[in-house]
Amino acid sequence: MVLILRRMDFQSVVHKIYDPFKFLPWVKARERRAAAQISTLIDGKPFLYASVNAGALKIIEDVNFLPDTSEARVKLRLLVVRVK
Amino acid sequence: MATTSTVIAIKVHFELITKDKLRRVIFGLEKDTQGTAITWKINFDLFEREKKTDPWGDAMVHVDIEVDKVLQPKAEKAALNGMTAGQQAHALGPAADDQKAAAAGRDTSRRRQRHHASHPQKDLSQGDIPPTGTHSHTVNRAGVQHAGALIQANGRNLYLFSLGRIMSNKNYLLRAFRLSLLLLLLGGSTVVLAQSPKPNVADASCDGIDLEKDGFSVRSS
Repeated sequence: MVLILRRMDFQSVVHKIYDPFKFLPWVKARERRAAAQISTLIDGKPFLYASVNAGALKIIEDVNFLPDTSEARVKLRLLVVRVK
Repeated sequence: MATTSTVIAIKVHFELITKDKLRRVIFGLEKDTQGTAITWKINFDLFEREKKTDPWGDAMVHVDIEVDKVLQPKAEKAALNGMTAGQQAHALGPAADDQKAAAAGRDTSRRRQRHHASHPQKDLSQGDIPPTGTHSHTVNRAGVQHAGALIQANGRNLYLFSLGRIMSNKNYLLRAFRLSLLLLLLGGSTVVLAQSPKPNVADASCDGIDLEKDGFSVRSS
């Protein structure tokens, strides 16, 4: 899962979520939900580390794009936030 | 508009369960940026249960570590490349055992001394994996114990839990891990490839970043 922030100018950003598993219907639905919340939080607003790292990233974590397989022996989740 | 990109946050979350499903280890590695300050944190949680059908309950051991600044590039490398099979095995076995002992208030230094007397140290960063058990070739300090061993490692490699082998010789875990890592990192390859190897990149949002700043510390809870 990659959260990409693109600066439109020096005052505001827009976001984009990239998920390699977006082709899965349930992932896509969750991504849309997360995107709506993140958009409200950061899009068109001044860039703040707090709103990105503590806000947007937390939203993605809470949405939990992985299926609930509690007994899987190995789980790996990678979240990356980058600014372009 | 700047054409470079900067990774300002990374969160890696590994969850490993032993083959008998009685022990679970959660290992986290986080990069956070607040203005000009970049921090790397490592989280370690150990869960155990008597029977496979029991719930995991609360973590028996929980450790938070802030990585020393000199090892931050290595932490970043580990975050992007994932744990090796030896690191996974060590996280599930010896590291978990030592964390458990530390949480119980037992001093493992004597056991460690006995161990070192009978097991000469090896350079584990070269991929040498010791046998199963409570073996450790790192220097333990009270409190931080094994999860902290990675930050006092030999200076050449940040071998995160790089000791031990408790998984089966068939290496099913290794195969599954590599496959999942490959899938995920392929998806995130644009980020990985776009990241500058230099701590400071030519981006206006990173002006003034100074990694030479001191003041990082190690703590456990």
